[in-house]
Amino acid sequence: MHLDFIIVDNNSLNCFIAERMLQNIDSSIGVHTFLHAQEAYEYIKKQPVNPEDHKTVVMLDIHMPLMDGFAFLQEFQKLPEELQNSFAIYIITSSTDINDKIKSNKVTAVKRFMSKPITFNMLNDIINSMMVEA
Amino acid sequence: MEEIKILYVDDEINNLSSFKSTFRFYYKILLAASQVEAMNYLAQNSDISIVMCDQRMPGSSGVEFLEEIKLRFPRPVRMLVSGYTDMEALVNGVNKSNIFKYIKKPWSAAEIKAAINDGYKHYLTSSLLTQKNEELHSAYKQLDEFAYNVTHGLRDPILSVLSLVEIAQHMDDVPESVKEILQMVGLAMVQLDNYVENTHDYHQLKNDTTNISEISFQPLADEFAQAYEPDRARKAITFTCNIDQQEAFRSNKTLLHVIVNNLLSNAFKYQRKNINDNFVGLDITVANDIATIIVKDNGIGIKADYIRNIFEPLYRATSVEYGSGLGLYNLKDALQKLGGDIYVDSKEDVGSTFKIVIPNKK
Repeated sequence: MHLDFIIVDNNSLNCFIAERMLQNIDSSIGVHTFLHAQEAYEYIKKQPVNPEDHKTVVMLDIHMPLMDGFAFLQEFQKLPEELQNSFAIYIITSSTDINDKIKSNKVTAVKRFMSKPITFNMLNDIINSMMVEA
Repeated sequence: MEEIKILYVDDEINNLSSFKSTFRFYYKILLAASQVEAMNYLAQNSDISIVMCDQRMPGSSGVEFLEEIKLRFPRPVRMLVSGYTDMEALVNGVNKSNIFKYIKKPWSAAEIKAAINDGYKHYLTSSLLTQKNEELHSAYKQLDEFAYNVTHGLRDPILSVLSLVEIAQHMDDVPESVKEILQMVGLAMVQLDNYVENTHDYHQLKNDTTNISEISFQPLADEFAQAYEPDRARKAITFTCNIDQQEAFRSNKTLLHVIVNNLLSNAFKYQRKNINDNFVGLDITVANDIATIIVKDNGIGIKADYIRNIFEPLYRATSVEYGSGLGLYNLKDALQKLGGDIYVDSKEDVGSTFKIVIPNKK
């Protein structure tokens, strides 16, 4: 299984953190970071469908100006199904609000709702669960 | 002085015109010869402060009409004018539709002026009150949004610092002494984060306690099941949910959420790793105006010595998982507001059962 990552977080510090940690775990993992959800969406829209053994993990923040995490999910769900299947979305947020959690888990594309801080454990967890699934 | 706008309703044209000719220099007067006409005026003139209506009218009586407009147009002060002395109907009407004054026919100009004077004062006070209430309501809403945004704005950088501290721990070229200092930075950040979260929950708990609505526990439980499904699947936990609600139950939804969520969050979090029949149960029974909520698990349990402390703020009975030490404290706070009680039965390495009873808020 080949994995790469897309980080969507309006705080550039968080993008740096996730990128840095991922490279520390496995320097072969490709990482794209986006400060605006809209740009991430435009990028994803243009991607070719991944082969079976290749998945892209999207680490998505919820509270972002302009297009927020939920608006992104709404647009994402309109993409062709095969393209959607190339991605696995993980909500990574500082919100602990149960309503945010319920709302996120209602979206099938969302694998999990995880609370910040971003840690090595969290990233290893994501990678492992992606590997198990494959 | 602001002009007082009065709507006078009477089916006798003579009465209408004599009213207008007597008071036209003092007030702005609208005349309606029927209820339909009066309704139109009310719909188009939101600044009418006093409605005077004759009791004897074709169709519905004055009392009935005033009662009807009370719902649709609550602001104007209502007065009944009548030459008949059917006391019972009048008393009933005054009580039912909150009529401010009853004016007996034939009236004198002085009497009417005094009534309008009083009525207008009442109108000003009550509309000021309504306006202040609306302002207060919107201020509360803004405060809510503010609290939500501030919480997020504060927590996000705090959590970033925690991540950065962790990165530094994995760097070979950082000396041990610096790593130690950084760890203390991290500890201080955890404390700050606890404080922020505490303040937010505190704000939420203080704010939304008067809002009582009908609670259906099945959809509530379904929502929670959905929210915890990923945790359940990841840790291979058997989750059972039994809801038995035979009667209506009223309570505060936000507080109930805080309570059930705290218990479930703990049950799913503090699981034992060395067993493979992990289990969480949620049982809710509503009977005789009492909701009984039981959350049980076969998780790590709580040491007997620690149980009495678990509702203290910032107290943590374990270091196995990351926690703020505020969950059960906030739970107890929420429970107190609902007049409920909690019973804990827990044994280390066996599991915990939390039983909550909450009375119906009728």
